[in-house]
Amino acid sequence: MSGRRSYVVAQEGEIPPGGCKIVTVERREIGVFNVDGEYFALRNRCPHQGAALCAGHVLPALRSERPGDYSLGGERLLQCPWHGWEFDLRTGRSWFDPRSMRVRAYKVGLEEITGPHARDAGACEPDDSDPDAASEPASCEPDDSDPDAACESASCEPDASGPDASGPDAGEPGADGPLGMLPGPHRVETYEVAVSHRRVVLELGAG
Amino acid sequence: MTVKPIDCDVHAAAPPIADLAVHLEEYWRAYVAECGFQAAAGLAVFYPPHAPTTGAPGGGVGLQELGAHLRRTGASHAIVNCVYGLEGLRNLDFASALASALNSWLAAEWLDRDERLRASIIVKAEDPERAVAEIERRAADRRFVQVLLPVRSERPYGNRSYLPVLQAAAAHSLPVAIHFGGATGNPPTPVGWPTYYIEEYVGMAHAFQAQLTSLLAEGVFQRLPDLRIVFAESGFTWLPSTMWRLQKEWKGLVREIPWVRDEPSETIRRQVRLTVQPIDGPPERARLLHVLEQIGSQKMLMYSSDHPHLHSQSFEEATAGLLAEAQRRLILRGNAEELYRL
Repeated sequence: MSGRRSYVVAQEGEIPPGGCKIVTVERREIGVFNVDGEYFALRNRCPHQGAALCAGHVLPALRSERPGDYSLGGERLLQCPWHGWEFDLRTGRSWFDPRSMRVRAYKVGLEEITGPHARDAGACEPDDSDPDAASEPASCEPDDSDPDAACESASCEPDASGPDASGPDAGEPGADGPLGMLPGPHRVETYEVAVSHRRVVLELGAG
Repeated sequence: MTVKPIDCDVHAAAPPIADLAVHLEEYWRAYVAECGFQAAAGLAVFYPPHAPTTGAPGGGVGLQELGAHLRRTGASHAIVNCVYGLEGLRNLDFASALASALNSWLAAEWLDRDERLRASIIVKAEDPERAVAEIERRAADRRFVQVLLPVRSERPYGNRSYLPVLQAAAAHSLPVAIHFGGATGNPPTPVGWPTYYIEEYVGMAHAFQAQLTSLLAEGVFQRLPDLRIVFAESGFTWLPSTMWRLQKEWKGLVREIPWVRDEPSETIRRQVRLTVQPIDGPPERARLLHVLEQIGSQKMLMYSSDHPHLHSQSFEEATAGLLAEAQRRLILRGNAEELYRL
């Protein structure tokens, strides 16, 4: 499979700040993190010995000019729960050997997706709103090798925010309106307008 | 082709106090006479006078005997380490006065009398202000080639209380030799007081490992990139495993010591040297080669005879036929020549 392939892996708000959701996409377990509203995605496998990396703590980067000097940096590091190796959440590069020890990082972020285009990662199809991917239908399967992850994987529901229908409010807008205005005899047809929820979209094959 | 070795660890016998007194200031001469001070008590503890490894009472020899030894080995230079035991003295003023007197005595009775000799500056490191002053006083005399500290210290040398001493040494391009022994009141093993001398003697490797770990973790090597540490009378076969362990654990524990940005093994290879005696005796001699490979640098080891301390084999015997000529030359001479600019 090549080219960019986008997957909806969560709804906005589903992963709380500080939280992580493990999704299985194209047979890969990927941890999707929400750090203060910014999303990051890393392969859930430590390149050292294969630990479930994304179960680790997310820590602010730490810099030091000299012994006894500590300053917290803007980068966020994911610390492997087994041996404490730290990986930059944004790049996947290890903190101690950024040149050669790294974990795969994926592009992820919130996107406005409406209507029938939305697909969830549980269904394991690319978001066909992506024109590149549309021409190349996904053929991946759920990762059977890890049953735990499978039950934790994304299960997005159909987009329920569409104009489904409770219809316009049948009340009497303006009946008790200000300035003593009386309701007029004419009424224009009105519709409820809802802002579609944004979704967390994970992109594979983005280089 | 023969190589004239540089012997990086030989021992002058600690002088009797009468010889030292002439180099003491008036007050301390009177003090010594009043209280009957003879010698620091620690020396006989870590160099038991008749222990086979001690070689000579006090673990050191006189000028004539050392000269004869150097003629036998063909060494062009030898670095005299006079182990006195100052670390066990609680009176800092007195200990620092003795340190200064010892250095004057070394200059007058050794360096002035045999041009092959170089010496390590003796300081009382627990008295940093005077130790720094002593380093600065001696640094102009290029025959003093390094600063001597006992491996068994009151606190690990990475501790910031020692930083001024290490800084002063680095500022004068003087390596700091951390040498076997020391009697500070701390047990010689990390698990408490042992029963027999062999426990202390063999266990000294743990003290070297602890000092290396401390210097690394406390960021001394980062802070003082020009500082060179020489482990003397340390042996070296313990180094690879310590280096491996530091390298491995640093990856996960670096958050605690974020100033250690360089790989520990690279830092150690760059800034640490070791003298070869006591050389360990693997049942198959060739296994020493594995250790040299594991150390991963040809620049770290420096020849020493450790005279008069007795070891069952000399460096040449232990490595006969094993070393490539270039490596042998570096160990016997090249590495020390570069470090001490001889």
